[in-house]
Amino acid sequence: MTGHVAHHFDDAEQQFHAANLGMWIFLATEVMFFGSLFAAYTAYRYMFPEAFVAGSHSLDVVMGTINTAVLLLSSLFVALAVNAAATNRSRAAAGFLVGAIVMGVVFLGIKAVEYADKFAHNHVPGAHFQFHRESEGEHAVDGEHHVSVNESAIPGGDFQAGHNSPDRTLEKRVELFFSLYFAMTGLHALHMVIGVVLLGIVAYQAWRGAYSQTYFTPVEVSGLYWHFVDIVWVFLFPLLYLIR
Amino acid sequence: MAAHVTSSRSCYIVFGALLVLLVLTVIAAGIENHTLGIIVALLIATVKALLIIVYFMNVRFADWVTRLAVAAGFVGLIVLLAFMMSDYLTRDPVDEIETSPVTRAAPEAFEALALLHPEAFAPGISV
Repeated sequence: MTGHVAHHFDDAEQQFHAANLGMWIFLATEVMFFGSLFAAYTAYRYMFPEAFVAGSHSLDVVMGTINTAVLLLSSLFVALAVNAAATNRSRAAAGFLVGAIVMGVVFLGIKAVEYADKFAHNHVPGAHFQFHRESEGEHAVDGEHHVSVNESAIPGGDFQAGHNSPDRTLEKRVELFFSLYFAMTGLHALHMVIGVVLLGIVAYQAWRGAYSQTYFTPVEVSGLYWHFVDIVWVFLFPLLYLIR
Repeated sequence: MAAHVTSSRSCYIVFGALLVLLVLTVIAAGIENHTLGIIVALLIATVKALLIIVYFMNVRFADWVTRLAVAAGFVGLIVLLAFMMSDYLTRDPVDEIETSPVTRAAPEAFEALALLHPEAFAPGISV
């Protein structure tokens, strides 16, 4: 079967390697895309460790853990789908991909519940943002480096007299944590949505029996994308949910 | 074309290892020391990522050009973080800068400069 080999490739294997390499180069740019947010996170967590701990404590660790497990399970399904497609079991691959899609949708559903909770508690950055140290169950942090920071360096900082109380300052810094939380999980969720659509197309093709030992490039390449999105979450989970 | 993909059996083993590491990272979140907590959490996350990259993403069957592309993104990210933090970690605390003789003299120097070159200052800024 050579019908799928484009004229500028010698054979199916060379075409597969080219597609694979292209996907990895795209993923390298994705690493830098998410990397800029991780860099912002690193700098601000270094400057305001206390606020990041306080903000993190208000996130639901149980939901975060379940979501991580759900995403890891979806990655297992995708890996099994690639294996099935590469061993001439295109229909089985379709089944595994549907499993991965279901897990992806479950992840997004849990994320939606968490977002709704943030809106309910006014933890969404903006005009209505509120964060109170007492009510959030804040704990003291040991061994944190205290970096004294010019108050005017805080984005959206309020310089009016009477508004620079320690609680107000903490609130502004926690707002920064939640800005990063929404930017990072939001960008991740957008990638999930794109991934679900991508896997849906590949699952349909797999159901039609389009893939075999000689041609399973779309399953492999879209699988790489899905695994990458999983890896991003593997780092997001401890960095956002598990700060002490 | 010979298909080089991870076997189903390996996939299940790797998934089991990932779940164990997930439980470990939640337990490790109990570490009270802030810095040690970050290091342990990032170590576990890195091991998880490597398992996914090597097994799920079939990089162990990939040629060296592909492996180079795999490494490129992550090396770029490490360079970004390393150079950025080499700045933040070596800055003087702001308090020290504010009490140094140079910064104490700064307002007067600024005022003198404004008197000499008023055109250099945007309208609306009063000195």
